Amino acid sequence: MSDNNKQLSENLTQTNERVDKIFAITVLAVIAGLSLFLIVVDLQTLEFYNDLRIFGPGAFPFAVFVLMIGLCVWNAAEVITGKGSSAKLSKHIDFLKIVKSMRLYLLIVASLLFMHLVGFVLAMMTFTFTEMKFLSEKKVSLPKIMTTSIILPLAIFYVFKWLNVSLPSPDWMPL
Amino acid sequence: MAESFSNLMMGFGELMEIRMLVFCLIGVTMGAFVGALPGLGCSSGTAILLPFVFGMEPQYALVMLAGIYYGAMYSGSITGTLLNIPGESGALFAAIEGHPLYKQGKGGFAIRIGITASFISGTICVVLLTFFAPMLAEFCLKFGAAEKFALMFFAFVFVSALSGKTLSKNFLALGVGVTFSMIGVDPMTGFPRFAFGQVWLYDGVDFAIAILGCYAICEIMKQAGDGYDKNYDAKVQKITIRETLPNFKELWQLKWSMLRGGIIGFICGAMPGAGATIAAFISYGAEKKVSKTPERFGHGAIEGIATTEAANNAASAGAMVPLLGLGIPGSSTTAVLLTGFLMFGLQPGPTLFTNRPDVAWSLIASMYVGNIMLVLMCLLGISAFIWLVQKSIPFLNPLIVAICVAGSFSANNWIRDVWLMAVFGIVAYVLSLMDFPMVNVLLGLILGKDMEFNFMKAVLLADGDISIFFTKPISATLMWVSVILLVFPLFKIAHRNLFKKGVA
Repeated sequence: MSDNNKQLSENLTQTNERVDKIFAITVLAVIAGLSLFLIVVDLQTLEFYNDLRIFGPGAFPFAVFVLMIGLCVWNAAEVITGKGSSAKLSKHIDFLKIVKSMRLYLLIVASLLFMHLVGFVLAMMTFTFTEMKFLSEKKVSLPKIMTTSIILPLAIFYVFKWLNVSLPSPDWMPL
Repeated sequence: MAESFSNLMMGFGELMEIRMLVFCLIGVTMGAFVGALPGLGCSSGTAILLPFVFGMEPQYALVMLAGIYYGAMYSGSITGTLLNIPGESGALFAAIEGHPLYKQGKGGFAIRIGITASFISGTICVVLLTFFAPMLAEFCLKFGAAEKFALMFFAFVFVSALSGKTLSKNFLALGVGVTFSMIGVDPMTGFPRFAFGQVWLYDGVDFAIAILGCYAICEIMKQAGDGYDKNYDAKVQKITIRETLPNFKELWQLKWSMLRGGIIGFICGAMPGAGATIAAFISYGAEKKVSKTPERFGHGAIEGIATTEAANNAASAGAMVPLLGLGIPGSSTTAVLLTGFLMFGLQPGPTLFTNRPDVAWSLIASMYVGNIMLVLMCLLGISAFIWLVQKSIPFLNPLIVAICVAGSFSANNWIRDVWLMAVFGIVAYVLSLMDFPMVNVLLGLILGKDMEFNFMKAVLLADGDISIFFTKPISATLMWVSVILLVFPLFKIAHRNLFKKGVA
């Protein structure tokens, strides 16, 4: 039985490492791809040398992007071969954690979209309520959630108003 | 030295205005609050509070921001000791050594040692800052474009050699930051670059927005992923004020631990990229090495707390040396402070002491006063702190998001900046999964444009001759040291691999 457990544990470790490798290679490929794209943009739109045969606005970016591609290749080589300090991530990629993080991020994005329509206060009220009620793992009573959802955005709105910053608010809102 | 002393007195004179003292008190209080909040950390906390200073006059804003910085260093150890959750990374050892002491019923003892070590070390190092920063500033007036480029290049290499584990990822993170810095008009020709026709990007990426995204949004995303730690509900022992008052006999016994931590912290703080966390690790390691009873470490060794808290606060003073003297951030939090300076059109560096001595010296004077405010506040207000920390935790995420949204909007009164902050948040999150150090990204973003400008200027003045960087003495020294720092780790790897293969 313990041999089975050991085997399962080894399989799990190998799967985790495979997932980490795929994730790392994907991110490095994206960075390298973007760098390559920016090199093309750089060469098409900016001068490498100016009329005085001294470096133009395209030279420094070109050097940076070439360096980044080289670093991505180096990093990717370490990940693929499993040798070197970049070979392993300090924490395994945990998709459950990523999903939880992305849930919060998507809620932030949705709130920003909502803010275009209803302004800062209502958007943040909605965000606060949704986050505390549905996403947060901390147990808070509904009256407290309602109170916080109303008071917190209003407080921040008025603090920034005091600092002479007019946060987005629709015309129909008397703030 | 006499001149520094009289300038410092001038700084105290500026500071003695009631409003300055009030803002200093607000800054240290806010800093102590964010430093105590688990997960936020010094740099995230300072970044989140940056929007509050947007409408202020520069001298008040900078005193407040600096107060937030060293305020956070004090209180991180309180939650570390009481809740076993360090408020920021440099307070990790307060949790490792302080929490076992708390369980032994010596929580008050651990906290008072941590806070008084912070105060003593912080105050001594501010004295060193008082005399070092202007000297360094005078020396730096000799810096031309080539020297400035070489210094920034050295800072990039040094940060990458010290922060994070891997050289390639450190440089990649720098590269990402530099890439973002290149968005906007070229500093030499004024030609727009990588803006893809978006006029609003011609001014480049605002550092404050990047910082809010990279630190605040990214941090709450990571915390959401890690889930709620039930330790937050841990019952706290009641600690009386009497328990937190300093005992001079104890402090005398710990004098060498505090001295070691202070020296290590100040040096680490003054080196770009090192910072409080590295200072704490090095001082802890050194303390354990010199201890006659190293087996006590990890189970409530008070020397561990004294030395790391001394190192923490010394590093915060030390980090001001490159910031004020050279205009180069010594840590991620001073990168945020640099943003504060730039927001008000102030360029930290040697010219700050000549052009705006009122700002420079009142800032240094505020660190003395702020340290005194903090030690009194922390020792007397620990119970209130704990209550506030525990009460804020349920609505921490909405609070941070609302401040970040409001803050990023207020930078230019554009909603596009809020979206830019959200973009930085997700980019930083993905990079953090890959162990990319954020401090490198921000260093690249903040210094990238200046570095390019100085490079181009130096090359133009030398009629296209790149060897200028290796012929001028200061520039050559910095460039060769950078090359050695770059090549040495690679040489070590190659040497290790050769030995493994059995080649003589």
